[in-house]
Amino acid sequence: MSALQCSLPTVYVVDDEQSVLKAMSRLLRSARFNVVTFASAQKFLEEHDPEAWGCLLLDCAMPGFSGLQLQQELTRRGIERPIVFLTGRGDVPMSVRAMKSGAVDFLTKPVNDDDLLQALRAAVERDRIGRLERAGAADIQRRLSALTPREREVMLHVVCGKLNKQVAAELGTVEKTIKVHRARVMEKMEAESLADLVRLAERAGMSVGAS
Amino acid sequence: MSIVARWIDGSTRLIDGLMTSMVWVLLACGRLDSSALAIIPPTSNDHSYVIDTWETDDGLPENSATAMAQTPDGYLWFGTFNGLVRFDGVTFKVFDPSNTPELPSASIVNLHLDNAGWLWVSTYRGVVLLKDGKWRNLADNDGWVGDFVRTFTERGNGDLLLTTYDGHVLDCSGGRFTELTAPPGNRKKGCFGAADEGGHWWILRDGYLGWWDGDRWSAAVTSPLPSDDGCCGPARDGGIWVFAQRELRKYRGGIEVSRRELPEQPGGIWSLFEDSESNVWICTLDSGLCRIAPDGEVRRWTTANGLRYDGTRFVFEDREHNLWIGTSGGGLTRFKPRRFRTYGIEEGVAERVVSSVAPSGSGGLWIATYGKGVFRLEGDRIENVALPGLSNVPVYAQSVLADHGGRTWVGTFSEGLWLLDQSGTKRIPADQTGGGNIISLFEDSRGRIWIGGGEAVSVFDGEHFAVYDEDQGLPPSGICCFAEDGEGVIWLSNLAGVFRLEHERFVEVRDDNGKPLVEITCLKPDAGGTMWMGSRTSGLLRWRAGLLARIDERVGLPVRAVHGMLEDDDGFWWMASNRGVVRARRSDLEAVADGKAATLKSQHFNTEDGLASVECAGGKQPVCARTADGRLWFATLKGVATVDPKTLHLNQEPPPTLIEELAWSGPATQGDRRGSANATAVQTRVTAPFPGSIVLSAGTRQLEISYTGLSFVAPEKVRFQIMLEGQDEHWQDAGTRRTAEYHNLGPGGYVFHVRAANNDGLWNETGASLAFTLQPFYWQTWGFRGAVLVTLLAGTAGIAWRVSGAKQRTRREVDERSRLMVEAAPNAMIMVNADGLIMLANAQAEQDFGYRRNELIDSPVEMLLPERFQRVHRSLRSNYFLQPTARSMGAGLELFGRHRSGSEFPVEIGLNPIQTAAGPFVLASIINISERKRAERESQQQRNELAHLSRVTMLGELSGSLSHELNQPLTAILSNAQAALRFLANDQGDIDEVRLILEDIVSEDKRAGEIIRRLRLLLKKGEVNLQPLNMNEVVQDALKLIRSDLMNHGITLRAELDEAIPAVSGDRVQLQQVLLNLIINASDAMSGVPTEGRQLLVRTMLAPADGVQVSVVDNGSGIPPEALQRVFEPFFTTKSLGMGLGLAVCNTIIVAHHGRLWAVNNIDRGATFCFALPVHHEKTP
Repeated sequence: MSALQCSLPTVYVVDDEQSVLKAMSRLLRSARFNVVTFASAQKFLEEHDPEAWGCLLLDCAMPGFSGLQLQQELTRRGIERPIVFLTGRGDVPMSVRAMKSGAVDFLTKPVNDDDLLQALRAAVERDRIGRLERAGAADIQRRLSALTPREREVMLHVVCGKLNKQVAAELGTVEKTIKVHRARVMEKMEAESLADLVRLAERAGMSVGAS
Repeated sequence: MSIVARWIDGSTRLIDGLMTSMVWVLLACGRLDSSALAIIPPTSNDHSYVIDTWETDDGLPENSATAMAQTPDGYLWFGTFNGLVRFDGVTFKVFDPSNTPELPSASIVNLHLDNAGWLWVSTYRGVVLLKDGKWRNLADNDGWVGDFVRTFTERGNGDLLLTTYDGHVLDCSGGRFTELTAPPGNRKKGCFGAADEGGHWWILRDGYLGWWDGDRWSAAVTSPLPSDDGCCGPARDGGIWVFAQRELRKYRGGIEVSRRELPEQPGGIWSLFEDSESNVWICTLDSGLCRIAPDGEVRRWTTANGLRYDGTRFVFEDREHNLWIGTSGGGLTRFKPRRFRTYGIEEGVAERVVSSVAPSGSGGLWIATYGKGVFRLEGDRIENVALPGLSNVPVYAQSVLADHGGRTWVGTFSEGLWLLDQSGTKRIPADQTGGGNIISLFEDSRGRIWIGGGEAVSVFDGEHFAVYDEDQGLPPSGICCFAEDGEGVIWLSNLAGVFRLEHERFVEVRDDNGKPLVEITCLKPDAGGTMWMGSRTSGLLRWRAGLLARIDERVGLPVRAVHGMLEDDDGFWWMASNRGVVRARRSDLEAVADGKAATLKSQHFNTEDGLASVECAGGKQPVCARTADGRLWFATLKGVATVDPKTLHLNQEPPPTLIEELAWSGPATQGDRRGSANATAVQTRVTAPFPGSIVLSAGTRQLEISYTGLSFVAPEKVRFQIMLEGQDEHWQDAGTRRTAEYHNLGPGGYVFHVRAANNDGLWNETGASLAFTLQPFYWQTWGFRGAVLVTLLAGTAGIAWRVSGAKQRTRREVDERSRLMVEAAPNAMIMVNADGLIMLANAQAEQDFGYRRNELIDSPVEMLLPERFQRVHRSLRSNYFLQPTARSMGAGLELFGRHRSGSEFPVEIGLNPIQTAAGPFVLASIINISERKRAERESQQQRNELAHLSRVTMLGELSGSLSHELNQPLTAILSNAQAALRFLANDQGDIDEVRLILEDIVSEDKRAGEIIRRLRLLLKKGEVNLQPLNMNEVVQDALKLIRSDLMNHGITLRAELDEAIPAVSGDRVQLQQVLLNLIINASDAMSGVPTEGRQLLVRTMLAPADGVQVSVVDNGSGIPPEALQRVFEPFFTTKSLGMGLGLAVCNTIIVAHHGRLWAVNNIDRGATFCFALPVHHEKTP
């Protein structure tokens, strides 16, 4: 997590036009982004690092593999890379499609630096949050996997707000055993309080209800 | 009945004529007794409708009308037993098997226009469908049973329910007929269908009313119908009307919701219809027509009050709300809402001729008649008011006036002035009024009564009469009108002039030229010292501060005479005329008078609108009146006409305008070009729907275009404007003519436009257009000239053979006949000997060169050449005589002749050597081609214009690509510049980086400039500039412009350019245009191909026979074989939005480059368009 915050974010720029790539690269460097440029969507798919923090600045109209197609391909591969689109013309249906598929912004060439940088910053921020979210969820999963089936059962009942006594009755054991399980659950889940445990269960997608 | 029905079932072998005679029997299946009844007494002067009928004498093929429909194009269609008729308000176009083989029978039983625009035509021999001139037959396997259609019913989704005369009920959904189970009851009884708001089918037969629940009929919740013979039909609110015996019921959702009982049974019922005013109309077998109004009023029409026949079949309402009634033997009748109502002899005004009207104090009207004295109208009651002592003599009342003092004045022709007041009726002695002939009466603002007489003017001030005559400046003639202006000055007119009463003397008002204002029959003062004057012969005049403005026929006033003027509450003026009543907005009158509007917008009402006579009384006062209720009254030659401006509905439907036919006469065949102009001309006709391109052969002399405007309220009033684009600059007023004729049009492309206005002057601004091309006139081709030359040579050879020895003798021996032949040649001809001396010259040579013959003979031929050519000609001539051949002179060079005056003119010269005993001669045929050159220049200019226009259009299609091409450098520039600014602001970049950025900006800017330059080149409107070109460069330039457009369409572009091709001679811009056009077409043709598969190949190569060949190969849809030959024709297009000019222009450009353009379909898929251009050769000096 600290690595994410220390390095500069990377903007991947994909445009078939060398002069535009060059100019963008300069502009983005001046705004303290890492810049990696690609002359085609194909090249980007082959070479970019999905793990790197940053976003994608993508030209819509390119020969062969178009920007929208690249967006679809990334989705298909499960790569959640925020995209800012650049287009030569304000094509409403195209922008609607792009935005529906999760694009951060859809800008028209030639683009003003403030607009562009603002959109890129938003995209980078979205990537950061996404990564944090994904990292957090993965962490909780890791903790959950450390629970025994019985502890998991106990946790489910506890987060539903049941008293130890009730849990013991339902699971056919004594209250004391449940107390022990509960303490292990709190420990393994690194939860400081019951409220903390409920939040973790929610984020892990456990069904929390009055079942 | 059953016998008749069987007879008809087996009748397909019988001729329709026999059938016609039988149909009445069949139709009588309703068989209700018709009892004579009078629901409302008939009156011939119908108050609600103007009734007109068309019968066989008016052009109907047969005197019945069985059913009616109005197609989306606006035509009315109706069926008769002798043909299907299309009606445009003026002409009946009859379709029957003799001219329309698709029609199985001339007997049309029923019609229906479905939602999709198909006209269903049920004939005695089956059903056919018609749309846009295309006919469709029902297929054998579509499930049709039954004879012919009794009712058509359509529901919202386009499904049809049909009932047939022989008792079948058919559901037609999705193009197939399914016979529904027969509803209960006798199938021989008339069966009516209807659909309700829920989309349910309803049926009424033999007293059974039910709806179809999907597989059977369910009876409606209802008390039994009073009779088994009734009919049903849809109600406008979504319910169902049912009429039986004398009950009209309405059902909604199967439940009876209203019932109305008529006083009497209207007769055997045939059909039912609800109009847009919610009147329900019942057509009967033999008792006329019955209307049940929403308020319950029942009216009937029969032969006694307007119909020509008592058997009625249908009521149909067209888009303009005319009602059309089809009868079974009395033709087609139109009921249109009446605008003017007339009170005449039938209403109690015993004399036909009404000369004056005036509002009575009690809200009624005084009517003065010319022969029967005066009448009074109160409410709807009219009574005669007798003048004492005159009961046995004709009383010619000329003027009537009710003043504010409660007195009524009546002026007569010979019996003087009469005064009617509370004390009774008395006659004013003639000496008080200066004579016994009283023409006009007028009350001024002070309550004085002005009396206009035949010889004098008198005024009554409440107590005394005073007479003015010639002593006060009046000429001795009848005074027809008075007026009082804003300053209280009295004006009057006596047809010889207009006068103002100033200081008790009449002073004449004259026009700007000092001429008297004659023929003025009415005066109307207006604000600002304005006086409007109606003239008997020249329309309306506005007099303002001594200045006169005229509103007459030249500015669109539809009448010449204005006899009286009234103003309504909405700012409209109503003008009584001898040709009807005209209504115009006062502000429009002002605008025309001020010259701010060129033509007057107005409505012209005549007998079509319900006026009994178009001639309104004039030359008297008052001739028109406005009563307190706002109604306007006009004295006419046939009673008093009245209109209520508040209830006047103008026709708001702009008339659909259609071009129906183009006919022309031209030379017999194109091949037979030498046929003289007087050869038999051939008439050619093309009718709508027109083909994509109409090309008229060269020499077409007469052209006639028929068009129509489909308004049916008063087709006689439909006006047209036409414009022939290519000849006219503006719309031309065509009046009510429905054909346009053109004579001797020059060659070129034309578009004929027409637009129409309905009876109330509402124009259909869209109108209709038809494009056609007149092929260029035939120019004298070398082939033709050769033929002439040979003919002439035959003669001159004869001359030449006889030439022997001395020149003198040669000339003497010229054969007279041959000489005449040369003499008559249409071109200049001269014969030159080896020394270059002219031996012979014809009359045309004299004329072209300006010398007399004796000056030419024996002179050196060089005198006919511009000086700069003389020397070289001498040597060329000597060479020619060494090796003389028949050829044209100076092939490929521009030759000029020199007129005596020194002026030069372009010529073409054919040379023919003639060997004689006296040595070689050469006969030169010299054609003055100035005219042709000029025409060529013009046509070149037109080609350039067209090419330019087409480029501009094309650039529209390219705009997406162009904006991309421009956006790329602009993006780079902007981002570079902003990056540089940031570097400088942050002090992070070194100067080298900024320099690099600036260099890039410069180069990107140049790149953008280059694109713009290319664009401007394309948009430039210029002369064709032929220069040596490398086609590879042209191709690359074009591809640069269109590259990103292709990319956006997902097209993969490949270029195969042969580096070794030689240069061609051409215009860069135009050739680029051709390429772009071909590429855009190819791109469009591939729109149906999946994105991955779209491939475009542009190839250049050297073709041995053709020169440089450029091909554009696509893998799109290809060209339909029938279109392959036509794609280069103007206005031929397969694109839904195409103009059809692109390829035609391309072809013109390539042909002008002496190349050719063609198209082929590829073997696998797609098409290839190729053009080939001759290789450029450096001109040898």
